[in-house]
Amino acid sequence: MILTGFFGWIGRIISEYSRQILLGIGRTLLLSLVGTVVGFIIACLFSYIKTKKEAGIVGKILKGFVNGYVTIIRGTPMMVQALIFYYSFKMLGVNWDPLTAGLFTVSVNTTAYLTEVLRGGIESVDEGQYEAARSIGMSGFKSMLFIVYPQAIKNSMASIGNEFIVNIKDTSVLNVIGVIEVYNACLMAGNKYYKVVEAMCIAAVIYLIMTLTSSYLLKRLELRIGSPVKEITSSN
Amino acid sequence: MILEIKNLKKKFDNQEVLKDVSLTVDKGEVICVLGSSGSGKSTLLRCINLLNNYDDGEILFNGKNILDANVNELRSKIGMVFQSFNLFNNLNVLKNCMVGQTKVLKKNKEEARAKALETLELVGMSDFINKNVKQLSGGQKQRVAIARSLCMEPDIILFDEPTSALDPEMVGEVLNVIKKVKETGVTMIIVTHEMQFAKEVSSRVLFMNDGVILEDSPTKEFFTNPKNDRTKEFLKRYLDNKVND
Ligand SMILES: Nc1ncnc2c1ncn2[C@@H]1O[C@H](COP(=O)(O)OP(=O)(O)O)[C@@H](O)[C@H]1O
Ligand SMILES: [Mg+2]
Repeated sequence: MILTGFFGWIGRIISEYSRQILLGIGRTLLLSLVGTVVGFIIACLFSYIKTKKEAGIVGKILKGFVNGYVTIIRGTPMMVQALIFYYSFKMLGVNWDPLTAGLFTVSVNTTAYLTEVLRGGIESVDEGQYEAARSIGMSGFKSMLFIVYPQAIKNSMASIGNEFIVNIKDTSVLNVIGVIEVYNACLMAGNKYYKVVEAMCIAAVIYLIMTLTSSYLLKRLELRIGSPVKEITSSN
Repeated sequence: MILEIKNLKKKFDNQEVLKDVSLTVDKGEVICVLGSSGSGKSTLLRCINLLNNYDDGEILFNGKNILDANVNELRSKIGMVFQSFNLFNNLNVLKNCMVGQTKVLKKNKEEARAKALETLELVGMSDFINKNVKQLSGGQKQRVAIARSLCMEPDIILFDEPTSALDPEMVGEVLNVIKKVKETGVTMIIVTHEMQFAKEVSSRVLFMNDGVILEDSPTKEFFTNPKNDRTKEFLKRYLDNKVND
């Protein structure tokens, strides 16, 4: 009896709210994908600044900025960041919708995490690689671009993929600024009939399908790109 | 004169690693540098292509102070072969030899490829051009590293213990390749512990001890009639070890 009631409500919520739920799935995927891609691109730049050895005065200032950025973003919840960004930009006259603010927030957030991931990736590449590149006359930038980063990114693939999966789940906090992603879409449907448990079970199953599918696809991508570069450490 | 080092001094923290080192190298010379570990041999080589900076003194390359040169251009003319090979792990054998030509010398792909194939042939690695560098043995890696350096058509190549990280059975193949490279007429400075090889390949031998060049003699004289007592001791120790082997 209870079970038929439970699944009955689930069926009803799904059929009545399928459009909103599908839109929610789309928004969650968009937020996670854009956040990870934009975050990755900016993190490439930030990790370069952060790991640069021969930094001049400008380099040192940039390094200070990146360090501060990473510390603040990683030390505060994304929910709090979303509220601060959304309303402070509005006060400054930026008339943006919740989804755009959400995309901004998740990108800012992912940048900080991936900066640290890439820094670790760069540090895992033997110093001799950079040195050999410099020794044939490549500039520091070219050495990083053509020799160190390809290896660092390959070494970091698992963590970058993990960041995408974390984003699928964690973008649920963006409901606080009114983004209607999976969690929020399901919650709104459930609230109508006071059936929160049923609605959240639907959300949970959707998240599970998205994360399992993503991790399967990322595994295959990792295999295609190849196993992480293993190094013998330089001895001189 | 291709290289002139005048009164070079270098400290790491408070440790004097090079104490007033002077040296001149003529075009086409092959010089071996001997000396026990920690005597400053690597540091000397690394100062020449500015992988290390130095505190005092002057290095002239082709008559010009290296500190006035564009560092990347300078390094493209000074090859370096490392003890630990340092082949680019993200590139295959052929691309290891092409990347410097295309990204530094701005050659087009065909030219770079042709030069890479030519040098890989010289080091006997033609059959491995598409191999991942991780699939190579130590000796093969070092031969590719030598080819990579040759591809830049450097005026001088610095070898820092090119065979010290190799299993004994691979030392010979690398030393033979270096002898072949010598035939191309390129100037070379080779830090090594291989006495027999030094005897065969070099025209001049330096002995470094504790940050100083103690002996700088023509090869024959170095081995038969060394001037310095420390050199004698060093050679004697080497000969004793040889007998014990
Ligand atoms: N990057 C460095 N930082 C501090 N000390 C160093 C560094 N590189 C070399 N040294 C020191 O300088 C001395 C000479 O080193 P090196 O030139 O490598 O000698 P060699 O190549 O003859 O063995 C050693 O005592 C070594 O510990
Ligand atoms: Mg050394």
